[in-house]
Amino acid sequence: MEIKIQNNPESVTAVMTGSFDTLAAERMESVVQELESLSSKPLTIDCNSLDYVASSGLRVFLRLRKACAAQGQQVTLLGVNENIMEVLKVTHFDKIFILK
Amino acid sequence: MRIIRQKKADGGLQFRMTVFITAVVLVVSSVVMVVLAHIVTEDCERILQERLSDDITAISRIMEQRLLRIEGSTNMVAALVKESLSCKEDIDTLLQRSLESMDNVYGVAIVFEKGRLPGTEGYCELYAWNSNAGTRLSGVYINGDELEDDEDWIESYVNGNSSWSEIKNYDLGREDIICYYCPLYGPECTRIGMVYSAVFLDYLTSFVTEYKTRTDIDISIYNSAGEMIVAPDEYIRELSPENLVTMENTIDNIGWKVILSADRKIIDKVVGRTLVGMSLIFALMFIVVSLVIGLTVRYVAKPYIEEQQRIQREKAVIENEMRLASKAQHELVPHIFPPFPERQDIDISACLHPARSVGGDLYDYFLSNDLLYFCIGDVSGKGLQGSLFMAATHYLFRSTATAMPLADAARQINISLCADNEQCRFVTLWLGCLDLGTGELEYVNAGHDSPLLVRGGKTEFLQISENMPMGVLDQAEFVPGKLKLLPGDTLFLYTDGITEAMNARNEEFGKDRLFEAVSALPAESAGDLIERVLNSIRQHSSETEQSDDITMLSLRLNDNKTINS
Repeated sequence: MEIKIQNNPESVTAVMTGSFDTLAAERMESVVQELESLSSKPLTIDCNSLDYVASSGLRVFLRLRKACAAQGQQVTLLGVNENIMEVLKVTHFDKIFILK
Repeated sequence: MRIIRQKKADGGLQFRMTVFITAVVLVVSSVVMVVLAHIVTEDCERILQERLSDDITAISRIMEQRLLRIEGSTNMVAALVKESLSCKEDIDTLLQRSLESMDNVYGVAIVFEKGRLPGTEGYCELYAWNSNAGTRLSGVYINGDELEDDEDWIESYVNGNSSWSEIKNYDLGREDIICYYCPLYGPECTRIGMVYSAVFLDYLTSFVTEYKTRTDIDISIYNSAGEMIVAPDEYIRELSPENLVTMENTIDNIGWKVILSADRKIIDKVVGRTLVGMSLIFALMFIVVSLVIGLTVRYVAKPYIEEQQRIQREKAVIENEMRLASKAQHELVPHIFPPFPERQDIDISACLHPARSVGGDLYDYFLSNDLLYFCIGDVSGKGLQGSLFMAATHYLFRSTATAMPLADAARQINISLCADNEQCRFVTLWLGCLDLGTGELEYVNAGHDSPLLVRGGKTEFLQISENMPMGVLDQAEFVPGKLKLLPGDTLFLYTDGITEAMNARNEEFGKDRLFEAVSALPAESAGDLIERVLNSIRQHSSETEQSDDITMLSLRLNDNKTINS
């Protein structure tokens, strides 16, 4: 699991690679906190290289969404694969994120 | 108690380390000693041989030089005396000077044949001796017609060669002497007599004693006649040849033989000394190493070990607390089957196997009159925090389910879970309310996996969730679903720990395998169905560690046949 942050002037992009499971969620805590601190800008999570998201990973998505929502910003999920889309649909999280 | 055990463990460690190190040092030093003894013995023997070889050359040369000096001085007298035959005083002076020029020479003398010294008729001897008192005496013996009865003299005289005599003792108060004879020729190259010098043996051999005390090496010297000029000491003489290292050399011009003999015990002595030295070094090293290790253990390893022990203790405490939490969690969910033995119309069984000691899954059921309330849920995140969220969910379900319509209860639970949910935990929850009288089931699926319905040998997944998990959005609404259960129907609820159970090839158990396991044969009871699915999962992922909580709830509405039987 890897997260690369691109802090642009008008927006933030987080490129996620690998499997976002419980272990990854624990390891990525500091990166997630950094992303939370950048929540004054709209956030795009680039999921093109993200294979799998466990519930711990979904929780991180929710945390980022909550942080952005507090500052009136939205979170976009970019290029989610079929598996992740199924998870998002079952949980109805597809309704609270912008999917592109 | 714990502290006492601790100290014992430390003492044991130090003792074991000490014994181990001592054993290693002893073994290593013994091996080194044996090897060293071998090497040193070989080396010593080689060095001793070289030493003997070097020394014998040097000793031979010293002997030779001393002998040559005497020979030279005597030959000189023989050469010069020809010029002074007419003057006895001159001969006397010559002898005196020759005596002075040589150290440790007892005397120099000239023996003239009959009538060869002018003014004499018989054999005649002119001499210069060193007296016992240190003064020099000179004089003339007139011997008349016969030479003194001395074989050496006669032999040398007859042969006309210069030569060294055998050992003599003239009882002069000092040690033995040997003589050098040199023929004397007159002006017409006819032999007219003989010059000889008598030398104390100790002059030739004084260095032998000194050498012996210095080196422990014995010197013996033999003249050409085989006479022992310097004898080996008694101790050496008694040793058998294999206990000796010897070296032999001949002094060419006089045919003397020099033999150096060393007792092999010299080698043993040197080897012994070396080994004692090495033992001391080893002992010193051992002490130093022990000190270093002792200090290391004291100041480096001990704190580390103590730290490890502390961590172990803390881990044990945490594990114990987790065990208690796990126990509490298990006690939280109903776990006595059958739960309602008085009710023949309903058969319920469930299981909860957390992946860690405490998990985030939950199930629950309870009866209120003819209404059976039940739920199954999966909290995002495991461990203690997950289990607290699970406990909260469980409590909220119990407290709201009976108080209001199911959809409202779901809304209430969600609002409560959303409050102060910093970590954005959420729970997928399937909650239902079954009227046991009518079979009417009302349910709310909040983002949870669809349960399976087994009806008359047919199995199907219920409609997927129309709602979001709880704890995400506090204003979320929950759409309920309705279903009429018929007698004989089985409802099977589960969490994703089942469908996502992995095998060694990283394949999920999946919905298809679950479907097969549930629909394979009509189950005898709710408990049987759960047992069957568990076995199927165990077969699938026998070699891998359980990664997620495995939770199931099986509910069977008995038909009249079952009730009657």
